[in-house]
Amino acid sequence: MTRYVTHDLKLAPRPDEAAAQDFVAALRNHVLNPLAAALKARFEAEVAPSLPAGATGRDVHAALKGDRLFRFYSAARVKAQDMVWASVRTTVARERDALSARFRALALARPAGGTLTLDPALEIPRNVAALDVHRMPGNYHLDGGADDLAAGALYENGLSVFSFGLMGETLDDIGQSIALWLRHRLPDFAPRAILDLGCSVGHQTLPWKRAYRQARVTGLDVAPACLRYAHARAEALGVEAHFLQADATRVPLPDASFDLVFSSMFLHELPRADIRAVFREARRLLRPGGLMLHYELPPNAALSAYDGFYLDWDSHYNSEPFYQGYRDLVPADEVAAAGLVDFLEASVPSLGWYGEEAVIAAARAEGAEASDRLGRLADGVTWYCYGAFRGPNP
Amino acid sequence: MSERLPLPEEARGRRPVFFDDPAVDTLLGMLLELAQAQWVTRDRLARLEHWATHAVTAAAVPFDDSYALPAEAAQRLAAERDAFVARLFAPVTKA
Ligand SMILES: C[S@@+](CC[C@H](N)C(=O)[O-])C[C@H]1O[C@@H](n2cnc3c(N)ncnc32)[C@H](O)[C@@H]1O
Repeated sequence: MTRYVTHDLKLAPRPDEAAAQDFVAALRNHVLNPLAAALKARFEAEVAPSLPAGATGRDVHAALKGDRLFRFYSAARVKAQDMVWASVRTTVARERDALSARFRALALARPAGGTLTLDPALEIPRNVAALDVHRMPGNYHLDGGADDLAAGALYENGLSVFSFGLMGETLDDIGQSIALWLRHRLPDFAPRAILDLGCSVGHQTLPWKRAYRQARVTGLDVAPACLRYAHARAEALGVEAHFLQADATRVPLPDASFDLVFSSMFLHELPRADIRAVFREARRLLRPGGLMLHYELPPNAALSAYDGFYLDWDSHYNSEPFYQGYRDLVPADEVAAAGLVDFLEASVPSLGWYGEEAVIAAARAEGAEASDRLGRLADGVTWYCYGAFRGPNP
Repeated sequence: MSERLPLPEEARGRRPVFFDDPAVDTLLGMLLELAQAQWVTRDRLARLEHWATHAVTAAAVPFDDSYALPAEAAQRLAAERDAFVARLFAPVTKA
């Protein structure tokens, strides 16, 4: 099940380890598809009729908390989450030195011409330093120094088990889908410089270079071992990208130096003040006419109370403390407050699930289609994204 | 590189509890560990059985960790795995 890691940094799990991973992926698939469907059916039959009109996701959560099925669903999901990381940890630990050696070779040869710039003095922000996001032991910033790639390897291989195929054959379905969508949505847009904030191991960074060959693509994150991994992965895949260790709330790059500032699965891991700081930074970094674009969880307004509750599960039970607060924000208001204009939003069908035609059709449609597939890692997922432009005036 | 700290085994932060008696959460965790271990054994047994019926006669093929099931048999085993997980949880969705 680490089979979606297909480049030179792929691990060689022993058959027993692979079987253990397969079990976890099957468990997650069962919990997130049939068990989640049973939970929703139970809610509709037994809880919804007694909820007052105007009930919110929080009300749904309160009403379901004592439900036996909710408890089994949740307890199994937490256990499965811990089993995800446990199922890849031994393999990563055994191959940790081999990964370092591969990193050294790729960083020396740089066949794609990308770069890696680390800043050992950077202070890791509290939203990363103080917790283990989605219960990944050690979190993104775990760092054994020098050539250590372990955090990146844990993250990518864990994600491979976690997503059981729904993030695409190479774990970059979000980036691929959204880049394709944007090319059709804005056919005349030809960015020369693209920045991916909170890029982690660069899954959604590289699709931008593939979509816009002429652009210089930069990935930024605070986590050093994830960035080393991202650099080696990009070089192994032959895609030029430039990775930079920095805090997205204060980016050490000049004003008006990008045409596209993107992020994916990033904002919901930040406290509100930092989200607003990131938006202001994005505006500063954009050239006039440039686009800020985020792949994110859909806001409450796009969802039913039940679907809102369903997405907020992670905020309560999966060490994602900022998730719910993020989803309470209204994207259009936030981008306007940052001084960006011409808000746009969309639900982009997963390229791997629905195919190219569906993505292109979505690029021609207006707005984001509300659905219970929106932003939910389950069969038939669609990706919610939104953004706005920097106006012509400075 | 031996001076590197080992990878941590557990996530920081409180582990959520859902049942009134936390022993139920603990037992569910133990059960899923056991089911996983059972699956690992089942997978190994399936490979061993396949080797015993298909490869043992060709003396040149020893059974070791690199002996993998052919695609079609692997697919059947994956379906068996999904059915196993579904059976584990079947009582949960009954009223
Ligand atoms: C869920 S991961 C993002 C994954 C990646 N963008 C993708 O879509 O595949 C969130 C990332 O944000 C990074 N991060 C958190 N706070 C940050 C900050 N203030 N500045 C830059 N990166 C940050 C974390 O280190 C982590 O790698």
